Amino acid sequence: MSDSDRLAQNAAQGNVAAFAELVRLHQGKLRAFLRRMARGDAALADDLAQEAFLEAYRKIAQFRGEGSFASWLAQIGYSRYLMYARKHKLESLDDSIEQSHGTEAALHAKLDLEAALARIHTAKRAALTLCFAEGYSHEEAARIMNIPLGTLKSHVLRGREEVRTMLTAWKETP
Amino acid sequence: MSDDLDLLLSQPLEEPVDAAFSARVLANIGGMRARDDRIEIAALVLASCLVLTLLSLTHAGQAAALSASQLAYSVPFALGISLLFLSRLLLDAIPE
Repeated sequence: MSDSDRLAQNAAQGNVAAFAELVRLHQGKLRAFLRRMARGDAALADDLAQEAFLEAYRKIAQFRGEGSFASWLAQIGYSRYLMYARKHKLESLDDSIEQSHGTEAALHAKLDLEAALARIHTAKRAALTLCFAEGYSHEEAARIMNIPLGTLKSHVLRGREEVRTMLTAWKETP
Repeated sequence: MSDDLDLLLSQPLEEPVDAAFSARVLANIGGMRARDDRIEIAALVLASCLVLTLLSLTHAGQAAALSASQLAYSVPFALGISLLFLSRLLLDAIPE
């Protein structure tokens, strides 16, 4: 059992100091994940992370330790992002971004990657981020996203292919 | 390309510095707890009033009131003491 899981157990028994330590330990990772999901919108990502921590505090007694605390928190954060995206129809932004990609062809590879990830579907972006940058197994990522394992693997494969296609096209653009 | 892409994708995300984020979360949790406590106390007082009102309609309640008056205490005083006692019992029963 990790330190975070022990802290979560203490927090579930009403220890606020233990939850405070969990916030300090996990805020960076959750905010970074949500920034990627929110396509770099730091203010939105921080608002969602704040809401996710409040929800985690309310539901801490439901944390059973079946997965890690980090993955449980990521699940809450991802679900918060999805709710926000549905409410504000964020996916419809994809089309407008798509039209302007040619002007960004000269960007650095890392920036290109962020730009490409911002253009793919939310679920594919989350799957790639969780499995590659965050280092979760496919099973953990599927649990975080609340989708079947097969669907997760499909998102990873297709998302990776879409990103690869975009990066190749941008490289070839003079 | 695939190897390069996997390498790029696997780069850890840059974690933002705390910059009082944790403090803001904890302040909000404090506010949320204070709000929950106020709701809890209001619910306890309401429940206590309801129980005592119902109790006063029963034989046991009336007997208690009679006993109180026989002991030279007024009925409102007896009900008040009972209310305080019941509130304390309910508060003790709620886990921290």
